[in-house]
Amino acid sequence: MSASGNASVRAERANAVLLLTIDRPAARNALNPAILERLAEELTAADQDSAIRAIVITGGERNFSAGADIDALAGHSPASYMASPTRRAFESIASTEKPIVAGVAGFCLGGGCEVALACDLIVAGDNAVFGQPEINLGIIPGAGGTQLWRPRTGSGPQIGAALLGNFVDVWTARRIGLADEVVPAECIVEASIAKAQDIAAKAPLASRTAKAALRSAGMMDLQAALAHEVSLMAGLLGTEDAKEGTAAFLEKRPPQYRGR
Amino acid sequence: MTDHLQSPVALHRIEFSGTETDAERLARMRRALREAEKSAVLVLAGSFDGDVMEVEVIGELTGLLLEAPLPVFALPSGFIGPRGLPILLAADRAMIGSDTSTAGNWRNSPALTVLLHHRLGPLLARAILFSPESDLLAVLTECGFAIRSSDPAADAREVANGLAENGIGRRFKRSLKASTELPLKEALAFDVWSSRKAQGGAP
Repeated sequence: MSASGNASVRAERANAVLLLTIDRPAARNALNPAILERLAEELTAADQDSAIRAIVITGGERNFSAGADIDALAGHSPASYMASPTRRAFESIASTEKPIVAGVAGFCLGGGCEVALACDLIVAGDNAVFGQPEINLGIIPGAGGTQLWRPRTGSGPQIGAALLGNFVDVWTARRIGLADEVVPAECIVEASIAKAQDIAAKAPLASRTAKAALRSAGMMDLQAALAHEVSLMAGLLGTEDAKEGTAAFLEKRPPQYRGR
Repeated sequence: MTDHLQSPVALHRIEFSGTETDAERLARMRRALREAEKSAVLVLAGSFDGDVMEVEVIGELTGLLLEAPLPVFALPSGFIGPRGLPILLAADRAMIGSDTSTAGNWRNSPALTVLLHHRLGPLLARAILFSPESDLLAVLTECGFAIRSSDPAADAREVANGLAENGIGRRFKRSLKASTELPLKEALAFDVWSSRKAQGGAP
């Protein structure tokens, strides 16, 4: 695995998987503007890099992120928050085109939970705790925390999180669909990479297109989303990967996808 | 009294007093779980007698024990009353001396129904709850949850030493938790990750 990065986010490569590790343990990986901007930059670059087929965002085996840096949050006025790099960074993370796996252990609260929910799959360590405690600070989640639970969990847990600031332990998170897999916390990085490698082994154009189709569910009504799905599928049929996938199936051999 | 200093490292032991309040007992349990960070087993010994003073606190204490990251052994002395029974059933194993028996109206114990169901299964739970003459400790012993012993402390030490090796007791506890909370195949996958890590294997 090759590595690069500053003190707060480490970027490493494991074959076709980009591993981004939030690395601010003294603050339980609290998200400051620098971390969020760095994540956004790495994700934007990953979308342009054909060698990267899937991404993992993790905080390691102790904490994913205990939330947004309160100092940074307290410094905002209504006007400055709307135009802040923090807000733009969250938008950038949410609009990443390649599949992202969140590897969540320990605290996954507030802005940290919103980052995890912006990912496509959530692998959780058995010490993970999810929550949106913003209501206890006299504010509300401002980067998806009142919206992104619902597609996974339904209304009840979404309301409990937003109105009561309820914390959800990992087992409950798995039961309600907030987490997709539970592993021992010390295995969180390996398990998340393994999940991302499973995704990376699929046809990259199809993975990216499937993500686009999945995202349309929240952006358009069902009929429009179904029509969008048809057009996306039609677009894929002309790709080399689609031909390789069907040929490999008929010839009973593993496919070799090239992302073309 | 917390006598971990007199106990082998593998075993962290707290001794319940018959005079402490439920809230004091809960606070001691919280502290013991923090202090037992490096121990293989937490042993709860001493008085399990008496009536419940604060139902909510007993509920909290039981919940805390069910979340304990290490195996918990109950070693009650003398009588087991409504106050001590939930603690006994929330433990992973009970080691009972020849002088130990139930006392008082133990059927009034908070959490009894739920714990019996989860620990012993629906059939045995019903057999105990709906048979007024049932000997609870005899059933617990017969089904393997409890063992009768002439020296429960020595037995606990011996088992704890075995569970200390490579943290296997804690690993068992985490996989048991996963088995309780996850569907079978997901729990198996959890245990495979855990075993792989314990053996130092690559994913």
